[in-house]
This record gives sequence, C-alpha cells and structure tokens, in this order.
Amino acid sequence: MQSLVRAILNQVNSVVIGKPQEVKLSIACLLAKGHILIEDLPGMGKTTLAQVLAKTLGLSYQRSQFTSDLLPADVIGVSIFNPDLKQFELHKGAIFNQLVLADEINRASPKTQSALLEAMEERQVSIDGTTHALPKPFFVIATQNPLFHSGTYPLPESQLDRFMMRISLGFPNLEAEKHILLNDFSTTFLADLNACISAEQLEAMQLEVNRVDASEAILEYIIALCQVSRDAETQAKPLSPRAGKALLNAAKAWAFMDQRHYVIPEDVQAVFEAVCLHRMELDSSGHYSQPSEGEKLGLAQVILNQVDVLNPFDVH
Amino acid sequence: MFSLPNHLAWFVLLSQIINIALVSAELSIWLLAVIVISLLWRVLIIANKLPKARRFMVILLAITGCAIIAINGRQLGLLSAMLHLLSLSYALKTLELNSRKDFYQFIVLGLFICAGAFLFQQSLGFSVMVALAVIINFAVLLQYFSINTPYHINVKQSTKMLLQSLPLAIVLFVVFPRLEPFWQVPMAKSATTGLSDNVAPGDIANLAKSNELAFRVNFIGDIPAYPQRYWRALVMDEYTGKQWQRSRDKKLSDWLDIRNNQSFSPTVSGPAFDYQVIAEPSFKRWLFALDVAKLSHENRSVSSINMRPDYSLQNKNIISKAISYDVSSFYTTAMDVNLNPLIRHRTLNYPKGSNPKLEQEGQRLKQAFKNPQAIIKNVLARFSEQAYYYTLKPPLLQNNSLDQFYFSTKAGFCAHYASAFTFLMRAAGIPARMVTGYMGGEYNPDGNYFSIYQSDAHAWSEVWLEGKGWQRIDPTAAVDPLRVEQGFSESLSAEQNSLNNEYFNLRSYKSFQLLNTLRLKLATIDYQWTLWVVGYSSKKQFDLLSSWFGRMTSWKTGLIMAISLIFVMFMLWYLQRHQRVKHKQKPWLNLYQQGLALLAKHNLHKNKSVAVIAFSDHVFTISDGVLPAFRALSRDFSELEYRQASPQRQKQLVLNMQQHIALLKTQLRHYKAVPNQTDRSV
Repeated sequence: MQSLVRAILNQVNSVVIGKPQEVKLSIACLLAKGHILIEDLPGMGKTTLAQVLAKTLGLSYQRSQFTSDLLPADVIGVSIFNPDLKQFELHKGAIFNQLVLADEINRASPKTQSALLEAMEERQVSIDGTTHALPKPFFVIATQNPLFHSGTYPLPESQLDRFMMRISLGFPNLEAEKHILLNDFSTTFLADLNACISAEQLEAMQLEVNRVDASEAILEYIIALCQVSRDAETQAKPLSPRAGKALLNAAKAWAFMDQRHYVIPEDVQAVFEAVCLHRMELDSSGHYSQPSEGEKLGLAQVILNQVDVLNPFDVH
Repeated sequence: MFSLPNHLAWFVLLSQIINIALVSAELSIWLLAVIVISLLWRVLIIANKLPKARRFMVILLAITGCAIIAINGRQLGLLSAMLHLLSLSYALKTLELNSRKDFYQFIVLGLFICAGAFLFQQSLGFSVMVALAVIINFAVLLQYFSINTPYHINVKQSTKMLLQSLPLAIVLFVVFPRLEPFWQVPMAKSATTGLSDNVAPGDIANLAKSNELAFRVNFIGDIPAYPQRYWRALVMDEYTGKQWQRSRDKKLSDWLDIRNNQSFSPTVSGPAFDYQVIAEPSFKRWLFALDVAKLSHENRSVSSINMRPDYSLQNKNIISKAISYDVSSFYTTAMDVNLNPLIRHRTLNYPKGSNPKLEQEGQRLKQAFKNPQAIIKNVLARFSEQAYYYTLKPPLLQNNSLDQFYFSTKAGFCAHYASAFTFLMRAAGIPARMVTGYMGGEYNPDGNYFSIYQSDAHAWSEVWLEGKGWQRIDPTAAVDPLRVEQGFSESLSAEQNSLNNEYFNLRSYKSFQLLNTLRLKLATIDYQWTLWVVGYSSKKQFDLLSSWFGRMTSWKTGLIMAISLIFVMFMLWYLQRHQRVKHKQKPWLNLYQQGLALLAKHNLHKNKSVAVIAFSDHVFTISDGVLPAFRALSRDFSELEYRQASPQRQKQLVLNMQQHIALLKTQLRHYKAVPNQTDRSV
C-alpha cells in the first residue's frame, strides 16, 4: 500500500512542479476523507492540481465554474418532465461525481454555495423529495481567489469549516518556474495520465488511515492546541471539536503517508496550519491596526509555539 | 520570558498590600518605608514607567534590609525580627518575579505572612480578616491559571475552596494532638497596652484611654459587688523617689521560687468566690485575681501559674496567647498576720529627702496619733474634706513630686492618691505597699461574664496592721467614692472619651441602648471564640474527648488520633485520586527529560513547542552526527509516548532508553559545544 502512496505522490509531483508539501497535504486530506479548499491567485495551478488528483486517483471528475448566476439546480441536478415518457426525469448535476472541482466557489450566490456545501456534509442530495446518495468516494475540491473580491460572496465560517484543509500553492521557486515555462501541460497531457489506484484501493487506504493509532498524549496535544485558540489573547476564532477531529484525522493520514502506524506531534504540526488556519483567522476587513505578533509570525505558528509538546496542558 | 499580564500584576499587588497590612502593626517604621518603596517601584514597573528591577539593586536592598534587621535584632526580639525578615523578603520578591517558580514562592511567602499575623493577634475579628486575606491570596493563584476568568469568579472559587477545607480543619483542630511541649512560639515583644511593672503617678491615665480588653471573668455562684472587685495584679514595695517598683532582690528570689516550682500557698478559710479568668495575651507574666486567691488544683492548666509571696499570681512564661485558669477567692482570709521582718523592713523603707514635706507630715502624724488606724482615718479624712479632686487630666508634677501633689495641686487619679498615701504611711511608720491591678469590670448579660478593660486599671494601697495583716486602703475612694462604687462617673467618662483618640469605639457610646446591645453581643461572640478556639489547649481537648468517649485512657486517645489521621489521609487520597492518575509521571518521560537536561548542559536547548523527532533531527544535524544515542533515545521515547505498545515492548523500550542515556553521557564528552547559543536552540 505504501508503494501506491509513493506512486501517487510521484505522479502528482511530476505535474505540479516544486510543491511537494502542498501535494502531500492535499493527498493526506483526501485519504482522511476531507474536502479541500485551494486558495490562490489565478494561474498558480489550482485547477491543475485538482485535475491531476482526480486523474491519479482514478475518480470520475467534473469541473464546474461557479458564477453569480449559477443555480443550485445546476450543481445538484434537476427533475425535468419528459413529455414522451410522461414522467419526470432526473438530470444529475456536476455533484454526481466522485471528485467535484468547484472553481471560484466564492463567486456563486450563497444559495448555490450552501447547496454544494450541504451535499458535502451529508454526502447525499434531495431532489424533489427523493434522496440520492452521492458516489463513493466523494470529494470536493473548491478553489477561490483571495483578491478581487468585488462581486463575490465570501464563504461564511460555518461553511469554511466543512473544508478539512485550506491550501495555498504560492509562487514556485526558480527551478520549478523554469520547468513550468519550458513544458506544456495541456489538457491532452493531463488526459494521458493513468490512474495509479482504483476507487476500491482508495477506500481501503482510507480505512487504513482510520486505523492509525492516536495515543492519549496526542489527543491531549490536539486538545491543548484547540484550547489555546480559545484563549482570548491569541486573537483567533476558537477551534471547535469538529476542527480538533479534522486535525486528528489529517494527522493520521500524514502519519500513514510517512509509513507510521501511530501519530506523533510532528504529524499534527505538519497539518495544523492547513487544517486550522482558515477556521481561526479573524476577518481582516477594516483591520488597519499594527500587525500583532500573530500576524508577523503566522497565527498557526503562534499557537503551536504556546503548547509544550511533552506536557500539553502546561500552558505557560 | 515569564511575565504577568498587567491586570493580574495589579491583583497580585493588591493581595500583597492586604497581607502586609495584616502585620503592619508589628513592623518598624523603617521596614514599612522599605516595603512602601519596593511596592511603589513595583507600581512603576507595572505601569511601564520603569524597566524591570536590576538584580544588583534588589540584592543591595536585601542586604541593607537584612543589615538593619540584624542591628535592631536584639531590640526587636527573635519573633519580631523573623517577621521583619519575612516581610522584607516578601516585599522584595515582587521585584523579582522572573519565573513561575518566583511567583509560587511569592504566593507561599504571602501565606506565611498571613499565618505569622496570628502570632500577634488571635481575636475573632482579626481571624476573619486573615481568612479574607487567604481567600484573596488563593484567588491570585487561581487567576494565574485561568487568566481570562473574571476576578469575582475566582474569588468565589477560592472562598468555596476555603469553606470546603473547613470541615477538615475543624476535625484536625479538635482531635489532632496538640504538641505544645515540642514547639513554643518565641516571645513576642508586642506593643500592647497594659500595666507595667513599675508605676509613677500619672501612669494609669494612659491606660484609661485604652479600651483594650485585659481579661474576662466568669463567676460560678456568688458574684461580688462592685466595690469588692479589686483585681490584684502587681504588688510594688520599693519607692525609688520617682516611681514604685518591685524591689530587685525580691524579683530574683521570686524568679528562683518559680523555677523551683515552689508556689507560695497561704492557708485559707471562710467563704469564697469561685470563678474562671480568661486573660488576654499581655506579653507580661502577671495574672489577676481577687484576694485571697487560691488556684483550683484540679485544673491542670494552672500548673504553670504560681502565687508570689505578695499574694499576686504569676505565670511561668510570658502570656503570649489567651490563658484561662480557675480560682477561688477567700475574701475573709487575712494576709500575713505575722509579718516577715524582711518584708517589714522593705515596706517601711523610702528614699530620705525625696519628698521632705510628706516625711515631716508623716512624723507629725506618728506623734499626733497613737494607733495606725487613727492615722489612716485622719489622712483619708483629709482627702475627702479638703479640696482634693479626682481627674484624669491632672496638672503636671515636677519630678513626680508627691509633696507638690499632696500639698498644692491636690488633683490627680488613683496612682497619685495611692502613691502619696503609701509614702505617707511609710513616713508615719506603718508598713505599706502599692498594689496595681484592675477595678470592677463590666457585666455582659448575654454571656454571663465580666469584661475587664485596660481602662479599668487601678492602683491602691495596702497597709499592714497588727493582728489584721495587710489591709486594702483605697485612698481614691475617699476622694471620689463613686469611682470605686460604680466606676467612672459621667463627667469622668467624658474626660476619658476626650483622652481617647480612637475614632470609632463602641464603648464610648455606652448611653445609646442599641449600640450598647450590639457591642455586648459582639463581645459575647469574641468571648466564646477566645474561650473555645484561641484557648483550646491540650487540657480542653482532653476534656472534650472525655465528654464524647468517656474516660480517656491512653490507648483510647491513641486510637482516636489514629482514626482521625486515617480519616484525613483518606480524605486527601479521595480528593486527589483523579489527579494522581492523570499526573503520574511516565518513566519514559522522566528518562527523556534526563536526556534533554544532559543536552542543555551543552547549550542544546529544546523549545517546548518543538516535537521530539524534529528536535532529534536538529540535534543530529548540528552535532554532525556525533550524538546518535540521543536520536535513538528520541525514537524510543516517541514510540513509547505515542504508540500503544504492549507492556513487554514498553519495558524493553524503557530499558533501551536507559542504555541510550548512559551512551549519551559518554558521547557528550566528545562533543564540543559551539558557544553561539542562538544557533543551538530550536
């Protein structure tokens, strides 16, 4: 199974150049059955990453571009009356795929957003009173643009919480950028990629991830981190138990990818920012005060620094 | 870097001020000044007006303070010097709150101060104040651990905890052995008011200002009338020309008597008053009784009390806490019908030429009258017939001249009249001596006892008459009969109040019925407190246990104490049991911390938030791989801590870790620390 993990990593890294950490995070997120929010500027490879992941994991995949006039029915599907058969026929939306790429999710109206996000949580949709289960496995990779907020509907905290991780790719380094400039990653190239694993294998891996040991000490460490975020002095939105659970699952996936059957604090630290930062960040609009310690160091790092690894509840 | 959040720093400061206030009455002015300076300094630091105190400045202050305490040590007395030292360190510790350890020490010092305050005062009101201070101290500690909780919640929590601990404290208080012989408070030299062992005319007026309690008396059976309640405390047989005192050689002999445990024990007969006296701590040795007192010897607590040959009672040690004893007073028994020639000589002696006019007057009286009774009658008649009057604000006498008082000013209070009278009797050849003590007392109907205050202090005279022994003569009675029949008259009370400089004193408002009732109620509560809590001696404990469990035998006592101890242990275990499981130090954590400590000696410090394997990788890199044992140690620790391994595996890994530690020690010998510290710590 570990060889499969390596194969996946190799393939994704061969397309998304120079971002091994982010690639590993996104795969860990999928192994932990989490949805991913990729936040970055246009042209940084968000869509590429999503596409490569879908291909590599052998998942059925559909991309839908979110716009302000996109309706919930476009996402989840709609029943249309067929005059020939004299009955309603279900036209499934983009969501009936194993991997859904929701591009620029913050441009859609709140109604459409919430339709998607509800489906993400429930893993099923109701159309005209009939409940339809979504395929398994089911992932949503959403992207959003941090700048150019005019005409967007920022995701509320409750919906941000549905994404296990938020990942930013960031600019590539010099070598990677040279490589990107020289090579052509056209759609045809992506279409040529082979799936490394089957959906069944993926499910088996997810099961394996779930079996990774988390000792008392690790649970205490995670809880301590959450408690620090609840401390008013850190100026963060408090982390919920759901966040703690996401952190644990992500850390388990990370440990699994490092070929370990138990979680160590390094795993938690590695996924902490991706899992927790978007749940903790305060709305920065109209926030012109001097940058606090947290803003300089990074809020996630500030919180990590406050917890003693060996003795988590000894806060000071 | 450790630092208290600002709002907590203010709270800490408040608790400190409260603690210091509890003992401030016992501290010297200069120490209070040092404390105020360091507190002000602290205020400026908290307000960000000053940087943190430099180490050498604190040390300088500490050394100076210690030096001053050492110099004044003799004068302060051991106990007070210790309290000074404690308070000084407590005040300076605020300038040195650099780590959590310091903060803990600071809190502990504060609690010590609170406890120390009890050495000087134990009244109910004061105990309540100390309890409040303790609550504040613990609230500070709670606040430190829950920084965002509002203060009132923590104060409430702290109060709750104090109340929860109360039952345990009561059980321990009641049944735990009172180990008095093993531990004794060194004598406290406290600034208490009270009688002194010498008296000059004019002295007692100071006491008349004081509303402090001297002692309380609980009569069993008959209660003597006011004019009979002369509480003898001290007998003074030597006049120096300025003041009355106990003669020196007598002091020595008395001391020897007490050391040899030979109490003077007169034969007594006739009717008697029985009563119990509860004396307040006076930091003196004398005690109080009506004439002629006999200690009830069933009472074990009085074994430390002796009677002096002058019929006054005296304790072996200084009375530093309330003491109670049972006495019977045989009021018809004569004292010293046969006078010891040595005492006769002493009680006739006076410095010649100190008061020439009185001496002459004495000679004149001696010739004019045949028997001593007539002389006494004549002098008392002079006091009542001539323009002598009783006042607490007499004109000042030059050189304490009794002549001036007797012949010209003619105004004074008990000490003046008793002095002049005694002197005159000696000059007239009648053995006479000065007695000081208390007169009367106030009855408290709620508690059925008498309170005798310092303002009831009185002085009178005793003359020896052939066949009758020592007779009490109170010349004050001749001047102002009301004074000795009913206590202070209205006008004198007013005079007394004007002398009084306490702003609020319930006793001054005797005439308001409601206030008076309130005052008496409070006094009753305090009486019960003194009787049962402060005065809870091993004897009382014994009696109490006897009343519960029947006759106390030693095995029974032992059993009760063992059971109570087991009960307390059980309670502690019961309350602790959850925490104990949680905080059980895992052996591997211990070993790993040993490893970290070894590295720290070589300037390799682990930041608390750095995880184990990450740190070992870091150490591996910067030590160029010369410390592989640490890497192995970290790996094993990580597995033990984070993997649910089987017990056998755990045992094996712990053994491995021990070996790695040993190996690490040898490897570290070859490792040269790079002095640049910033690179070393992660």
